[in-house]
Amino acid sequence: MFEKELEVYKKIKADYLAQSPQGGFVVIKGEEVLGIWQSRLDALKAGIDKYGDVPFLVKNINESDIVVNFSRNLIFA
Amino acid sequence: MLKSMPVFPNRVPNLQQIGPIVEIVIFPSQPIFLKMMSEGKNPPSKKVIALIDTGASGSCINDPIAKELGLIARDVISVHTPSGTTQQPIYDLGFALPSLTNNVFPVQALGADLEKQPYAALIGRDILSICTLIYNGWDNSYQLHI
Repeated sequence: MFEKELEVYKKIKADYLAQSPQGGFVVIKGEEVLGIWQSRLDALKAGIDKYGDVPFLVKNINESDIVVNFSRNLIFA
Repeated sequence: MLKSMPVFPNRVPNLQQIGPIVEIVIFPSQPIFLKMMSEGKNPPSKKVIALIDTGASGSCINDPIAKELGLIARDVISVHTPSGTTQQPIYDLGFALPSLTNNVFPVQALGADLEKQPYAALIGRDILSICTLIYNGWDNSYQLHI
């Protein structure tokens, strides 16, 4: 899922962090980078306004890698 | 300070076995919710039982609920469990307590298979970061202050 978008994200991340050191949320669909917003809700809204309710990536560029930890085992679909 | 916040006291017969559970309402994310309202549609919602899980850094919902609400993944994230690490999609959604549905919190949650569990969502430390949880094992009671 989001293989193409994640490739684009890897390429642009350093530039976007340089332009926006305070971080933000970038919207990517396919190879198109829609832009960067300071709040996740604003980024979601922009993506939905542009593309509709279809899959697109909203990535937080503040952090290098967000990891979620569970002390229990979970079954994923 | 705690008295000024909504309190959700609860008691279960065997807190050790059942765990601290609360009823929550799940909505689509705010932009989708508002878009549906503006189109004259009735946004879906789902009331479910959630386990307050201090062992989870993030929150989680049963995958069929995500499908039922028409949620679409907007990111993928690394998930560490005792079994290993995987990349999993996450959903943006709104989360509220049934008595406070006008107060919807934006949350990102993983979809997981919770079909065999007595609850359909896990409230992780992302949500707990804006709460106070009091767990009283002596009398099988707990309180969630939001």
